[in-house]
Amino acid sequence: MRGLTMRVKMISQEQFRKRLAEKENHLAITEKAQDVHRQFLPPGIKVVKTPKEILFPSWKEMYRFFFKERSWEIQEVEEKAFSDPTFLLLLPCEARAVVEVLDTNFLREDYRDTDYARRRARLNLVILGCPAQHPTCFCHLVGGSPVWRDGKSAFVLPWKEQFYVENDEVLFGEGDPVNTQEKREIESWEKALQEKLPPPLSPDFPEKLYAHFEDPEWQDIAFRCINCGACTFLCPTCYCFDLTVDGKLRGSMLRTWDSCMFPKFTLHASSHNPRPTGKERVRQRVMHKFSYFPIREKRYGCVGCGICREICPVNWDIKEAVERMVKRIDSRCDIN
Amino acid sequence: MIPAATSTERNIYLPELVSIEEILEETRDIKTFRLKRPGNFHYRPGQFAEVFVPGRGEAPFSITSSPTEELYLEFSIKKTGTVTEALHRLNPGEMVGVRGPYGNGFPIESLQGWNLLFIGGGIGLAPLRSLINYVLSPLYRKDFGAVSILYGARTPQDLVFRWELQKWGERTDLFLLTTVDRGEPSWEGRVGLVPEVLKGMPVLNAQTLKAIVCGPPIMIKFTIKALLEMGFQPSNIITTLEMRMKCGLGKCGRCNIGPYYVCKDGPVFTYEELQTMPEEY
Repeated sequence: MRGLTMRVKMISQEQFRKRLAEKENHLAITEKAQDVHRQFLPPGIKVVKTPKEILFPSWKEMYRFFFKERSWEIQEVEEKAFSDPTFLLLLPCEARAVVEVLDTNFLREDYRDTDYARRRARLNLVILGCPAQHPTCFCHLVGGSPVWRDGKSAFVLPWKEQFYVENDEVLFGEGDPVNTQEKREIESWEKALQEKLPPPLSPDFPEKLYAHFEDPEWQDIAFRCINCGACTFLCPTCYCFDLTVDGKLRGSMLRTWDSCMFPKFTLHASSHNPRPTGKERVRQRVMHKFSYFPIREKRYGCVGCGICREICPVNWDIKEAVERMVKRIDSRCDIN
Repeated sequence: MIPAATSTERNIYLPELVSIEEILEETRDIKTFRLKRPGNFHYRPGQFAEVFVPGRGEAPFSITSSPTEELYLEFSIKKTGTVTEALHRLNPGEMVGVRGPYGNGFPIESLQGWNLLFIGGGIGLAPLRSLINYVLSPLYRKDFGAVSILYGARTPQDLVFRWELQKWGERTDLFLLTTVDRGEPSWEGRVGLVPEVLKGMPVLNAQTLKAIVCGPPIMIKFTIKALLEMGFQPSNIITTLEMRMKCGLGKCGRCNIGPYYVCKDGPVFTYEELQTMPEEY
C-alpha cells in the first residue's frame, strides 16, 4: 500500500536526462511540453501532437466483420503486443484535458469505452510544470495553472539546477530527499505564481453564457471562422467521433475523429440540419466547452492550452470569443 | 488509478447479429423489419437501437414493437440514405447487427392513471406504436385511462401500419382518427393537417390528458402550439426528438443540445424540459 504522505524527491538535470534516454522506447512527449522543456531533454524522444494521439487515436478498429459460408460473423479485434509508450510527458493543461475531460467522457460508468480504458490504464502521465506561460495560453481563465496536477500522476518541476519530483516510482529512480527549506521555497514560489495569475472566469459564467444562446453577437464571432476543423483535431479535449464502416464483405467498424465544425456532423437523413451554418457550429464549439459541458460535469471543457489559437489558419480565437461574451454578459445588453 | 479493462468487459460498440424473420411493406418507401429478439435485450417503449448492416454502416432506429412481444423486435424504416437503402435490399433470413437499447424511453410511471392522447405524423407513429401496444396489452391496459390516437400522413398511401390501424379501429376501448394532407377519391377519412384536425377533435379535456407527440419537426412544432392553446400543461406534453446519432451512448457528441445528449438523456422529453433547452433540433 502507498503511504498517505506524497512521495517527493530532488533529482539532478543529468539524472533527468539520463533516465529519459534509458527509457526512450517507452516514452513520448507532447509537442507543447517539448517546446517548453527542450533544454533538458535527451534527443530522440517520440513526439506526439496531443495526448489524444495515444489515448484516442484518429482512427481505431472497434470490431471486424466478414462474410463466411453464406453468413456474417463479427469479431473483436485481437490485442497486439502493446507498442505504445507507457509514459507520456505533458504539460499541466494537457494532463487536465485527459483527467478532467477525456476520462469523463470515455470512462463514464454506464458505458466505458474499453479501448480507451485499456490505453488509459497503461499510460502513466508525467506532468511537467510549466514555468513560462506561452502568450497563446490561458489556463488560468478555466481554473488551471502552470503547476496543476491531479495528485496521482507524477509531477516534475525544474527547480534551480535540479528537478523537484512528486509521485514517481520507476521513471526517474532514486533521488535526494527534499529538505524543509526547499519545500518551503517551492511552496511559496507556487503561491506567488498563483497569485500573479489573472482571475478565472466567474463561477456562474456557464449558466450566464447559456442564457446568451440567442445573442446576435454569435453571428459576428463566427464570421471569420472557415469551419476547417483543424482546432478540433488538435484540441486535447475535443472527443467527438464518428463510427464508420470500412470494407464490404470483410472489413471493420472504425471509430474516427469527427468535428462539430463540419456541416454533415448533424445533418439528418431527412436533410434537415439543426446546425446549418457556421454561426451555429461555432456557437456549439464555444458553448459546449464553456457552458454545456461545465453545466453537466461541473468543470470546463477547455483547458486553455491555446493550441487552437496557434494553429488556426485565419486567426480565429476562442479566448477572444469568450471575452466578447463576457463583455456582453457584463454589459447586460438586451439579448432579445 | 484507472481500473484496467478486464477481458470480460463488454465492448460497447459490438452489435449482436440477429436474423430478419419477416419484412412488411408499409408504403412505397417504408418497410417494417421483424428481427429475432436477442435473449438479453430488455427495453422500454420509446427506446431505440443501433442497427448494423455489415459492409454498409450503422444507424439508430426507434423500436416500434412493444416490449410485451417477447420473440421479436420491430423497426419501421424509411429509405432515405446509405444504411436504409441497404436495409431495404435485404431479405428475410439475412443477418443484421443490433446493439442497444438506448435512450430514456417514455416515462411510463408518470403516464399511469392518465388518459392518453397519441399524436403521430408519418413514420413518427413508429415509436408511439411501441407504447400504444404496451398500453393496449392485456397485462397493462388497466393501468391507463382512455386512449385516443390521432394519426396523419401526406396521402392515404403514406399511412404506415395500416393492418394495425384497422385492428385498433375495431377496438372499443380506444378512439382512432386518421387524417391525410391530400385525400383521394377512395379516401373516407379526414383530410387536413394534424394540428388543424386536433383542434377540431371532440371534447378533449386537457386537464385529464397527457399528449404524446411524434412526427416531423414542423408537425411537432405546430402540434405543440395547438395543444398549448387547448390548455395542455407543458409537463403533460411529451415528445421524442430526432437528432443525427452515431454511438447511442452519449459519447460521440453530435446529438448534443445544451447540457443534454439526446441519445442518452432523451430522445423523450416533456415540452417543459424542451423549454429549458436551446432550440437547436
